[in-house]
This record gives sequence, C-alpha cells and structure tokens, in this order.
Amino acid sequence: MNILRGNNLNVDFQNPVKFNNKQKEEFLNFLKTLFYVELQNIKTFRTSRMGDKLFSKEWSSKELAYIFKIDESNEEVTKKLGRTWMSVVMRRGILIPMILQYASKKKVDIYKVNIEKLIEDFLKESKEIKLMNKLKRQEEKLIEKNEKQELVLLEGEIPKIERMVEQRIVGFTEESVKLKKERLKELKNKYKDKI
Amino acid sequence: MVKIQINEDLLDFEAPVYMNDEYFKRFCKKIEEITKEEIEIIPVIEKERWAGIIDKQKPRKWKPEELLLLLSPLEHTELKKKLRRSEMSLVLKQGDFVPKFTSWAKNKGYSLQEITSSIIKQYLEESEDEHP
Repeated sequence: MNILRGNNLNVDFQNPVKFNNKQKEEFLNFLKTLFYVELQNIKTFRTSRMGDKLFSKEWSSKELAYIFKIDESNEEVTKKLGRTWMSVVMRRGILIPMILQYASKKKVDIYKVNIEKLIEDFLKESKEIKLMNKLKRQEEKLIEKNEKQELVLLEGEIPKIERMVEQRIVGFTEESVKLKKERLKELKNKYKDKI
Repeated sequence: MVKIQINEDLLDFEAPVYMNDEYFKRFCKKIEEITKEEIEIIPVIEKERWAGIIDKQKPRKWKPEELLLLLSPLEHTELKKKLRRSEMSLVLKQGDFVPKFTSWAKNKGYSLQEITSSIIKQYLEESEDEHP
C-alpha cells in the first residue's frame, strides 16, 4: 500500500483503501484515539491527491468550540484536529480577540473562568453560521492581501535571482527560479481580474 | 476534525491529514498490522497555501508591553494602530502566544488584574518561547 507523506507533514492515501468490515472497524477505532473523527458516506472519491492541488478543509462547529479553548496549546490542537500548525494559529488568531472581547463584556476573568462554559455561552449568543462565515471572510481577506504582496515581491525578486544563477552565486539554483516562477504564475492567474 | 469518507468497503480521507512524526509512525504501523501489507511511503511536495506568508515574514521582536496588548479585548484595527504591525503578524502572534500564555498563567494561579508586562517577562524567561 502506498502512503503519501508531504513535506509539511500531511498524509494522504494514494488511492482509497479497501478494508473488510473488521479491518474498517479496527482502523476507525484507532483513528479515534488520535483525532476527532467524522464519517461521511459518499458516492465518488476525490481523484486529486496531495501534491496535485491545494486542499482546504471546512471548519466544523465542533472544531470551532475546540480551538476557542484558549488555554489548550496549539500543538495539542494540531494533533487532535489533523490540521497544520499554521492553519490552527491563523484561525485562532482571528478568533481570540472575539473571545477576549466577550469575556471582557461579561466581566469574567479568563484565567479563572471555566473556558468551556464561557465558549458555550458565547456560541449560544452568537449566530454560529454567521460567525463561521465571518471567520472565513476575514481569513480569506488576510490571505489575499498577503498573496498580492507576495506577487509584487516575486516580480521584483525573480530577475535578481536569475542574474545570481547566471553568475553562479552559491545558494541560487535554476530549480529555485523555476519554483518562484511557478508560484508567480499561480498568483497571477488567481488575481488576474483583481489587479 | 478528520473526515473519513466511506463507500462500501472503500475508505479515504476527505483531504490530507496533518500528522506529526510520532502519529505518522503509529498510523503506518497500525495499517500494516490491519492489512498485513507492507507500506511504501512516497514523499510528496505539497502545494502550499502559506508559503509566501512564511517566507516573507521578517518579524520584529515582540516586547512584553506589546504582548500585553495582545491579551486585551481590542479589535485588530486598534491593535494595528497601537503596535504598528501588519494584521497578519498580529493574527499569527495572537494565535500563537495567547493560548500558551493563558495556559501558563492559569497554572500559576494568576488572575486578570495581576497580568502585567513584568508577568509576561517572567513567562518569556521561564518558557522557551522565542517571541520573535
């Protein structure tokens, strides 16, 4: 069986895996000891695999409640959710001001209060779907801003690196130019209507 | 949340799943145990959403007084003005620092009124947080 291991520590199957009922049960029970697991019956499996494209996973409300626990370390959260450190930190960075504002409004001490209860109250009071959409919009806006900055930087950087490759300066390779050009092309395509 | 997609006896991840080395070893070992098949691990270069963000961030060091502001109930727009930092750097630092600090301060038994920049300084000295 082939398992794909990414450079950012993500894991994927090369193809869907065939299990008999006993194996399936054993595998799922094992996964549940590592992660929060949700099962989904589907008709067709995805064809793209890790490395083919960028995968984005929707955040569920259970996950939301979990990352709100601001006294839980990012390492624990990434392990439990099967998400990268960066995606957890980004999402938490957007959520944290909300929970701090809520705690301040309610005049509670976040170092003394039962965090789970505080989150429960907050989620009850805020409309969850609206909150999820707000988070998604904020994150997308932030990423777009950064990627546009990156695009401008790459446009200036690539000719300089090409010159360094020509001059055979150590540390600059044709491969690195190629990767940067690919990234630039990808960003230009993404923002062609917005620039 | 790890979503597992199932269609009769076939099973797949909804999307790639992050696993640290310890989890990955356990995962492979378990699959080998269950299937009695040998596993071949294929290294893959992932498409990166954060590549540009990570590469281009050259953060200034955070001072305890600045970190204290990250614990306040201020909106990012206000924090940006006060700290003269980009929104991305605020988001990343808040997402990283606040959970670590909150957990530390709770264990120490501090209350909200006691949190000052000198307590944060103490935290930075005690922890291995490099606070770039």
